[in-house]
Amino acid sequence: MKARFALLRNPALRHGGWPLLIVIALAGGQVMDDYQVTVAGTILIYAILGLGINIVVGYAGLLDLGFAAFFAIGAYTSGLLMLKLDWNFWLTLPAAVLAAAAAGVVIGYPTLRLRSDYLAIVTLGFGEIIRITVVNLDVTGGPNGLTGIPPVSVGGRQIVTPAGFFYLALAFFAVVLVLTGLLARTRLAYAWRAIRSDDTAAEAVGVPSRRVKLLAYVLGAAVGAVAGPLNAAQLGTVDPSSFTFLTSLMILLVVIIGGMGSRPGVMVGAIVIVALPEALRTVQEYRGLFFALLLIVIVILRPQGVWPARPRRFRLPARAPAEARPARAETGALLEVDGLTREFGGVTAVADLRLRAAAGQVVSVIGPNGAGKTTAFNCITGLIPPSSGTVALGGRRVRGLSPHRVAAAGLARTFQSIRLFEEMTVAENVLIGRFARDRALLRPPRRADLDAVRRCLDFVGLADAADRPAGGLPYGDRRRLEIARALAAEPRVLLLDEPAAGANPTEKRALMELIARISGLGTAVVLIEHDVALVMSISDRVTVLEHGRAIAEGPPAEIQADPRVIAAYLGVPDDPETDLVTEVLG
Amino acid sequence: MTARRRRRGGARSHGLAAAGAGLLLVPLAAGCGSGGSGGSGDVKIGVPAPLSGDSASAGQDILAAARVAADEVNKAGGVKGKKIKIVQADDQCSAQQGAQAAQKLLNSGVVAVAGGYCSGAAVPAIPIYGRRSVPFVMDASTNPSLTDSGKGKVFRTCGRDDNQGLVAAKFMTGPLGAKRIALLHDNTTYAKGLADAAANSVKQAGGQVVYEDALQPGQSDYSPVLTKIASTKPDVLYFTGYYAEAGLLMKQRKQLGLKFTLMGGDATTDATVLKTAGSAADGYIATTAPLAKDLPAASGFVSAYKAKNGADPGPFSVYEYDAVKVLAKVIGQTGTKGADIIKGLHGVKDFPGITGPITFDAKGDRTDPLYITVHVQNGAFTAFKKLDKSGAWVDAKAS
Repeated sequence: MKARFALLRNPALRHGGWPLLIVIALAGGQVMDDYQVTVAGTILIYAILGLGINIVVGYAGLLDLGFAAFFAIGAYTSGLLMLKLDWNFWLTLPAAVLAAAAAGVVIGYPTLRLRSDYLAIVTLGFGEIIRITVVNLDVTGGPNGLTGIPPVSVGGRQIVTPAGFFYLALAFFAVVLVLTGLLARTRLAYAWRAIRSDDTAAEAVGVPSRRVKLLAYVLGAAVGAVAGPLNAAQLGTVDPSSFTFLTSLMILLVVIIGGMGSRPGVMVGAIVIVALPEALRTVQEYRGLFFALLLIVIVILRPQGVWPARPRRFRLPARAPAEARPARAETGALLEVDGLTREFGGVTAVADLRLRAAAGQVVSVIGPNGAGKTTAFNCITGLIPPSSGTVALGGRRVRGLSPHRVAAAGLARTFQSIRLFEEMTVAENVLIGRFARDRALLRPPRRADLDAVRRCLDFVGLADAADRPAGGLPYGDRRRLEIARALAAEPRVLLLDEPAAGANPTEKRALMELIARISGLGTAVVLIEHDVALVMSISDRVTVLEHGRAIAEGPPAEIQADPRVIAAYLGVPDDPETDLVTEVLG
Repeated sequence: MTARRRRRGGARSHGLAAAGAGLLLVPLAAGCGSGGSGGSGDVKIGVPAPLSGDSASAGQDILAAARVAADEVNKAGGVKGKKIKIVQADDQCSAQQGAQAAQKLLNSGVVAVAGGYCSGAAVPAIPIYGRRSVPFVMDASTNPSLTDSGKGKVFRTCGRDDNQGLVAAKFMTGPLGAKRIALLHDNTTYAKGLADAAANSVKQAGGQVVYEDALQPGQSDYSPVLTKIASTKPDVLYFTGYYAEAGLLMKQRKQLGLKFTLMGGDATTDATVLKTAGSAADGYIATTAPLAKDLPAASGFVSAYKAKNGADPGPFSVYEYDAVKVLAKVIGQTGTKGADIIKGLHGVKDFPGITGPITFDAKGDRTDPLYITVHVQNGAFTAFKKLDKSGAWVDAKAS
């Protein structure tokens, strides 16, 4: 074990196999002939493009069918600045990156609310718009593109040979690799994976999803744009036929073949996309056919990609230190909801709802199906805007804020149908809950984050499952994980939407005990629940909703005796079988 | 704790990365097997062409023509006792693939290159051949800028777009008597270049360009474009794009009952057009470099091509044939050193090509005009009119 540790301390191996790959590539540049280094250079260009689209598609899950547009913007920006303004190649580089980043905002901003098919169509359109624009503008050389782009010079030496270009591309690739590697460790990368999995849930637990999505476009575009000037330097020309829909598809294939969100996968994908057709030159005119067939075979054999992303193991602290923050000494009503109303067309889902929850209290909202309980929760958390009314958290009005801001204000929630980030590990799910406390994106998770994750997992009893994917957990653990994720926000008010649904009696008892411990922390717990026995035994106060209106509010004992409640649950008050009612409620 | 976290999985990643590096090298190593300047003693001539993709049929035709020329040379004893070997490379009509195909050919030890179809693929290839001083004789890339910037190392047996545009403008304003002329291209380098050249010449000849725009290639319905063009009331529509769209334009022009004359550039004279358009192709006129069957000197080539490939040669085959033949001739005189071949090509005077006498000017273009017009009669392209030495239009069949 000791020897193994010594080996791992070796700096060359500590950061994975990338340095080794670079060294092999450096050596390879010496032995490969011009043709091979040209192809290898193209592989590196596609690898850079792949690392760019990997951010957008692989991490953030935003399907982009027009990524060649950023490639084109990078190439044309650099080429034009060199040809028209005589800029040095190295000066055009930041300009190309900035131009593409700006384009990322242009494409990203209007599409923030779109998903899947619609987003794909918009990006496809964007790609074509860019290509058709450069083909029709005189300044971009129209269909001829830009020709006569001067070679890059490094330290006074012009790079004209294929081998020279290969080393230039390798340097670019190494820089992009390091930068994307740093990016992959940041909280932003976790946030991307969360919105890929479920953007509504991510937003609800505190991830600023619009900003995070926009950053995916901007950073992805900026990375991809680096390939543009490089390609222009390689070919000495910028030809609009290089930026067609087919190019976008090839770039997308790099991540699909390699494995979504996997940087080694991107390398493999780029090799397959570029080198495979070259190797297939031997089959002459059947090249396209064989290439297509081989792609199909690869996708069938490795549906997750040749080198799928492996979950990053989380080294949690062995024991959670005592909570740094002093127990909340808050008193009085933490959550104050007044006159909350929500109408959908002519239907009033929630009408004039008043709700109070004080520190350490458990307040339950019960009511028949369709009474408007979940709608009320969604209005309170900002998921859907209320038609009228006020929501205040510790005296601060939060109505009208976006869900992640409501979460940051101290209101955490779970969902009726459990919404976890299925592809992420248990610990990562909880980490996402930390965004409500700390929205910093461009740095790795801090020690405080890890401590909180550990504490929350310990609290719900899931610490042993920390590195398991959330998607593989049994039902009861999924409920507890969702609560742990909400607790990571250290909320003042916790809204639980039917936490006992589908639970067996043992699980229900455990849940009741968990809720009691949460309220013991000084958190106000608001519960939607159908299990009347459970509600009555743990609640301090109960509100009963029917047709969106509160028909009763008070301590459990009072509610149990309220004839309106009995009527709402079991029909008319003079029902002959009132015995049954007493049996159920008693 | 954090330091320990970073150490995770180090050893494993190392092994995988080595595997990745292996993957990087394997296909390339495989690719190199067929390359190498080899000691076979053959004189290798490279033929880059689109052998797969949308333009594959043109590329295959070019390759077949090069083989016919090489066979003839080899049957007659080769060059300086060595056989000519044709080395093909697929450029897929793209810039990136064009550059890679060029490197692939140089890798195979070609002493000269004859071929190419799309200008887009030729542009990045030119400096690659140029650096090694390997002459590039183009058979189909007619973009003027290619020889303009070729530093004298690029030649062509085909014409130049500006020359074809001039011939088209003269024909439309002359024999057709057109005043209002519409120009349609497809935004490719070639088609837009030709349309621009035609527009200039039309204006110089006193005609009016009433429309110049692009269609989107690859679609199946161009009636909206045709209707738009009809609204500008042209006498002639000159389409400078490729044959797939040309066939549809003919068909849909007839369906819409439009009266203006439809004319096309030399990328529309493919036999596919006649299949697509059927009877709607009758009366269609195209400017073109003469086809094999319009050239009396090409009859021997046509029968050799048919015997070998079982089909009629396509539009660029005669130029590819001449490119290989003129290279063989020059290599026979100068040897296989690139710079010497280039010098030799510039010294060629009235080489008896099947497309006419070949003399290259300082840029590498042919000094004699080439383009003629053809029209569709009885479901086939036949020679129509050509300019004689005095600048008058005469029947193209009269030699």
